[in-house]
Amino acid sequence: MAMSEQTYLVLLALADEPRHGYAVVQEVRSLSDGRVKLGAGTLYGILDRLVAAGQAEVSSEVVVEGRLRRYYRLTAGGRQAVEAHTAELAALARRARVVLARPAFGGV
Amino acid sequence: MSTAQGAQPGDEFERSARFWLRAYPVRWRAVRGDELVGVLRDLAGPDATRLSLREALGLLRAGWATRWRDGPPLRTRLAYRWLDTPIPPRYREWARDDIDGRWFDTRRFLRSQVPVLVAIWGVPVALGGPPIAPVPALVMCAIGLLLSLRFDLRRPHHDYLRASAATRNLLPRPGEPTRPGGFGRAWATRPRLAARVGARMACSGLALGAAMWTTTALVAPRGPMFAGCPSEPGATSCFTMDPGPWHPQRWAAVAMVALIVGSGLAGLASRRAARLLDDRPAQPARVLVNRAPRLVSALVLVVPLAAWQAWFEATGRWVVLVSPWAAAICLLMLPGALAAARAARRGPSDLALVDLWQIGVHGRAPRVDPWTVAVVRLPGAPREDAPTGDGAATTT
Repeated sequence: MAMSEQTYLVLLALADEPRHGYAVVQEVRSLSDGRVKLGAGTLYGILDRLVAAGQAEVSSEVVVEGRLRRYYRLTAGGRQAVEAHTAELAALARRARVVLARPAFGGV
Repeated sequence: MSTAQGAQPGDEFERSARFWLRAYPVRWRAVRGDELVGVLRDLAGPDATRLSLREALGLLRAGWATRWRDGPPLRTRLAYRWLDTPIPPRYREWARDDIDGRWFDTRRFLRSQVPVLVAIWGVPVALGGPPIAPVPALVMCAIGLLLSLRFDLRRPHHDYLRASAATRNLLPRPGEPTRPGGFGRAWATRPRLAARVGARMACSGLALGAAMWTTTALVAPRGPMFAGCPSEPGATSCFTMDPGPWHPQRWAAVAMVALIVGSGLAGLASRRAARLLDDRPAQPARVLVNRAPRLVSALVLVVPLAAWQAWFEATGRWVVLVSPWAAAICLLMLPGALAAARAARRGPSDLALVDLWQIGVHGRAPRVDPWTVAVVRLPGAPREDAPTGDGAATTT
């Protein structure tokens, strides 16, 4: 399944521990070195799709200062998907390094 | 930061967030709304009083995407919307939102107007001719649209269209088992318009119509003149309508006859009411409704259209064609409406308009309203499913 960068980052954000929506946004920002700033609408669109696909699920709900916080975690399928995609990216990075290490002939 | 009328920044922010959250389906909001508002508040910071434009546009886009993902495929959606095809069971919750939705009547109205617009615009223009009466047709469409909006905002839960749509789409099909939390039938009371409100509104409408159209019929300069076609080979029946002289005296005689006949019938109805009103049976399956705001809205929206048409006939821009008939009908019915209003005012407060109709027109005591069948949510485990990517219910 093709996976967008934002979806991949959300899966990664949930990989080590269950997180609520705001924590996922913070973690995605940290993982992308501040480059990807998820809006709430985008985040919940991704979470909806991950839950529907069985890659994430709700682990618990807590109320903090009157605000409902719902924690999400990866399922086994989600972990498998994120590991597979990470392996793909790693393989691509290796191939990219090989290509970039070659001398360029006839280039502009 | 100071806020208007002592409202806390959090309250103001929450109002703003919930406003934009309306882009999402109702069920989605019920399950995730509080959670998403919390995230929005965390993202915006403690001093924010409203959602940023970027975040609001993001919610709009994501909300509508969720609506689209949640609903049935385009083909199923079109069949449901245009052909009244029952929705497949997996989309019942979506259909429930659609039927209970604020814009259900408006969607129905727009659907009904497409064939009209095709008839007055599409077909004539495709055949190389001008549209048929485009301005009156479009004005009628606009007024109908306004009426549907007005009616929608009143949320008529007993509306017939909603009830029939719910029956068709939400109930289990033959052989399909019912499940807890699903939909089923239940006995329900029948809404009837209160006689006092209905009769008063009928009097107002008929009196307005009678005054407006009678004046028009009396002052109109031009009437229709029908003539046979002079030489139409092969034509079995043919006539033309041209502007001609108008004889208000002749029409006044017809109007007088209508008024006299109407008064006679009203007298008969009044005698029936005096005799039969006390024979009313108990109505355990009835609930009286007061639709006065809706009826007033309808009058306010329709009267300008009628006045516009009457003005065109009264000033001779159009031949006088509609006003004489409309006036005669109003004059015929107005005495009956006045008699009904009088009977309603003097009668018991739980009288329904339909009771007066049965007494006055049919000459019999009102019948007992039967219980009606309504579609209700069956008891069981509460559904906590939000719309998801494939439209299927997913417990979260």
